[in-house]
Amino acid sequence: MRSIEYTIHDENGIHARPAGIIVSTAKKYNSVITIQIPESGKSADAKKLFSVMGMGVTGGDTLLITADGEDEAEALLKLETEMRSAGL
Amino acid sequence: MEIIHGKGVSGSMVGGRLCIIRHASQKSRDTFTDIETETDRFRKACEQVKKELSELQKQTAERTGKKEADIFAVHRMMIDEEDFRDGVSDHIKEGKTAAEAALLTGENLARLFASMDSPYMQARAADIRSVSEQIAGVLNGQGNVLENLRTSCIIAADDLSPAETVRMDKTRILGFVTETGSENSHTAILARTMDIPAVVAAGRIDDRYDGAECILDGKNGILYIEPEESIRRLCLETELQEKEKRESKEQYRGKRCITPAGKPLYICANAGGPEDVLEADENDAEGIGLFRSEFLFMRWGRCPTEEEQFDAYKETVCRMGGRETIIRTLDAGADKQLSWIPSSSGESNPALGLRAVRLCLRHSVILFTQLRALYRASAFGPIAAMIPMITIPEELKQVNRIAAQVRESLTMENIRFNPEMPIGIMIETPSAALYAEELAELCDFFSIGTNDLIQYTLAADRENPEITYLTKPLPDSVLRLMEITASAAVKAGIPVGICGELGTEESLIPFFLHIGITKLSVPPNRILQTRGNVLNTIRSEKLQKTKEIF
Repeated sequence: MRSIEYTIHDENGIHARPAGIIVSTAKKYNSVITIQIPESGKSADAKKLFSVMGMGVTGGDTLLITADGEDEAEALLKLETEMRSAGL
Repeated sequence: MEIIHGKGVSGSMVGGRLCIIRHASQKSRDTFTDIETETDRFRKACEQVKKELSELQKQTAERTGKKEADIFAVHRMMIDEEDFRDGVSDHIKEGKTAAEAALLTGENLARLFASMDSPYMQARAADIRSVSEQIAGVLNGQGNVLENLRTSCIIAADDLSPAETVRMDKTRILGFVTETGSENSHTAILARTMDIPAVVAAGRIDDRYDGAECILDGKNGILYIEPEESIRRLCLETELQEKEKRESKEQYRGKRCITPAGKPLYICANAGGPEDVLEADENDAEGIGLFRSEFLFMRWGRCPTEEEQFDAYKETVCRMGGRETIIRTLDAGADKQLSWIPSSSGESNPALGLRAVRLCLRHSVILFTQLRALYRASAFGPIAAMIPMITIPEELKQVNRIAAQVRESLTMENIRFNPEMPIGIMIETPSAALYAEELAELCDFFSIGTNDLIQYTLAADRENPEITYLTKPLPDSVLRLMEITASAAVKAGIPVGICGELGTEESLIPFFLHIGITKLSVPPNRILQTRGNVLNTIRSEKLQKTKEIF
């Protein structure tokens, strides 16, 4: 199991379009991927769109993204890159 | 006459017939067969809607842009979500028809978002409703009213989904009024892109007004149903003025501004990325007055290499074909954090912290690399570097030392570049304005960044609605700093431009001309209007002079 921290810069937070990017990226991997906001204790399955959107992540929130599975390292790396290039 | 008040979100006034559109939820009339048949019908409807969404995504990507089109990909994903499918299947098991089940599930999920704090997320509830309504629409066998508009009309609806707004025959739509919705709703965004009036949150509009003559005022947020004569006349006049304004803008294409002092005043474009450069060209920009290089630094999640930067700058300079492109060096920090720079995350006051040139001097390899890429691009056309947030002369001296090292390294490696590439600075702190004379000796041009200059001079955040009295109307203190800056530039014989929102301010043009501004850099779509305003000001000033003489 591995995890990374990621701070959201987009002031709108994870709204529909970026949530779509996160979910479609996460679905490509076998690992179980979860997103947490340690500050509020909220968490979501990164492969579920409504669950990710429903977290209500806003700009400035720091996320803890955890992956567990044989492709965990690759999954986290790809997620981070995709989120960055989406301007999140 | 009936008057309905809402929130004006786009455009001015337009008159036409009202066309009221009601959604699937109010019309679902099918009957339940059995669980298996309903599940199968639902599944088929999903496939059809997904196909339609793919088509919409393609069309939008071509007509509007990829970013706007992506929303339809999200809609497709929503249909495939377990939460959605499971919800529908549960409702069908309870004896609901496929259409009812889709609507109920959509509504439940939408409520989740509608209850969130962020207005942006609340607006997204509409996305979920839209998806379920589309599926219900297919199941109920509805033709889309919006696609088959017979005559031009003003559309009234509870709210419109992005799918509907894309499908509409836009040539026949004069304006929008929605019963719910917000400034961030798709209808509002679309109306602004189409440049037509829109009013949202107008409350219930009675069905008996369908087809009634009305006037929509998108500025003041009013819908007049069966308007009286005075409103009709007002509307006609406004429409006429708008038309004149639009047409008159075009007459400034190809024109150039010469100030009463006989000097050119260039109207240039602000650009945030390559697509703005295209738009600048289409709008007859006389150059790029501010090219924000941040997009390059945000793109990869790491510092772009010299080659990557060089390619981007070279492409821009080539596309501008001989017109000067001013590239602002990395302006990160404060509200624009880069995750890969070990910067100011712990700062309690980032606007006053390690940002822009301060950050670049701390990590001087970033500045060195960027200047090298810029110098290399200078071999291909007129390009200039602009340093943001210079506050004291010492910072500029340090930048100049790094620039000298860059020139030296390029010469040693025998790489072609223009050693005379101008390096200018942004004047955006009161300290820089007061140091203008010293700074003018150390650089090739000034550009006044009014957004930050206003913020730092008045110690006021422009976005904070509680203190707008400080920034509107603009206090003389800011104008005095601008005057000090401009007169130092004039004295040193270097150009001085303006690249902030203030540049589009019509009432300040006489002031700009008076203090000797040589360039206004504005958003691409404001170029022609700004040029028109400048030309008109110059004309009326000349007229005034002639009158004084006689």
